[in-house]
Amino acid sequence: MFLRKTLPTLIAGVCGVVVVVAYFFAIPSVQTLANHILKWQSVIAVFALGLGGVNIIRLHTKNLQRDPKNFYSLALLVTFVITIVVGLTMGQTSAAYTFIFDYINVPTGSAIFSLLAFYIGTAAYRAFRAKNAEAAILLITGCIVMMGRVPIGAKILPFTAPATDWIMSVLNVGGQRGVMIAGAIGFIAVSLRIIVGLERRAYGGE
Amino acid sequence: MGIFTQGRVFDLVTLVVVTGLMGLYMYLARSGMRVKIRPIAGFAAIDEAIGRAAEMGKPVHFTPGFGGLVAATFAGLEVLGYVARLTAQYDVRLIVTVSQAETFAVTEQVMRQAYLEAGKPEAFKPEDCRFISTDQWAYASGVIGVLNREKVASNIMIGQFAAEALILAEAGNTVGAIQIAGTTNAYQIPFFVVACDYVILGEEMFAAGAHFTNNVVHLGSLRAEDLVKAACIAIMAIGAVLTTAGADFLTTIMGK
Repeated sequence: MFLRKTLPTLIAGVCGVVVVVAYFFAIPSVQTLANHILKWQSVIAVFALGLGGVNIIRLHTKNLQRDPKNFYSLALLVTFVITIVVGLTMGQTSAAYTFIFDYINVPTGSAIFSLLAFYIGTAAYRAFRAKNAEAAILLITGCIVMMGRVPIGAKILPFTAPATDWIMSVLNVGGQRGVMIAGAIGFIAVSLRIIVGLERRAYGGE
Repeated sequence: MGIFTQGRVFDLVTLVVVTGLMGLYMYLARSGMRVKIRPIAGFAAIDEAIGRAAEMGKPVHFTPGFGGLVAATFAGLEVLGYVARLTAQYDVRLIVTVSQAETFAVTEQVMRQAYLEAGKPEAFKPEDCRFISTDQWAYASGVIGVLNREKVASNIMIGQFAAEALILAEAGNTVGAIQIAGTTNAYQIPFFVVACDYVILGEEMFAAGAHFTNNVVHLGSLRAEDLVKAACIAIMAIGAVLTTAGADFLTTIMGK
């Protein structure tokens, strides 16, 4: 009980209070301690990354045991091992490691990111069906904003440019700020509960 | 300003007042004060989503998003605790994907605890809590893969999401899953709204503990949050009137 609940709560509470005090008060010793705590956080995250790596290896090894033709798991394990071996033996600035990063990692990431353009299209198509009054308002507003955001649209329908500016700077910003302010208040509540040890999920749910 | 950091005095006073209010209402709720919360459609739909998965004999997918151990992730983990308990009770397979290593350890423990609370600790399979990648797009592609290969019946995404939100939601839509999503990221909420069946909007996520467990601490803190929101609205209204009238003392005080 002490190791699983009391000690983590104490550590989280002390670290939380120190970081908050360092933010609001110009006390050099507390600010130094807070900087150390933030560095410890990075160190702990690295240990957690090790746990994540073990999980990946365990999961995909099991997948391969179940189905030796599982190409995806095999590809993941092989590239996982190659990247680690290259990184550890040749260093992260080596040509081989840079090749893996620049010509495999970055392009695959960009390919996934580019899916967003197509998904915005399909999502907009579904959202822009005037099934009810709210959807109709969304459709009209969306059309005005789309016309107002492109030069030719503003040329065809001149009113769309100022209307777009008003929609984006008044309606849109108003709604977003409402979400942000309410979210920030919720953040404070959760953080406070964690610091005083009342957020049981933060400690694994016990 | 001496001991205080320049420009943060008003923030400190606000934090002290908000903390005091929350402490007071948590105490009052523990002392028996009744706090009622309105039903939240997204939370109510979770039972339906798990029931659908049970009927179809397909898994449920849950992800707390791309964030580390931040408040939105903890709200997501609160929902995960409920989802895991329910899936354990109905013998539905639950697959959880995680993007941050530090979140992974906590997530696995939350799942393990929920299965224990449901009286089925043996049903928990560690390989169903999957760490994907800390890289945003690798995480997105990993989740797309899970949704497609496992043919999930329900997709629940509650936590911190960024640009990958729409990619995940559209992938879930493609496999025909019932989708429940929630985030505090105002820029991603519209994407969830158009692609998901139910959306938990921003701060509604923080009501998860109060909604699922009737936890008095959460209920008290919710009441305090509502009061703080009312105070914020009042300050904004007064500020708008004062600024329009040419008086800037409120903005001067807030800048201290």
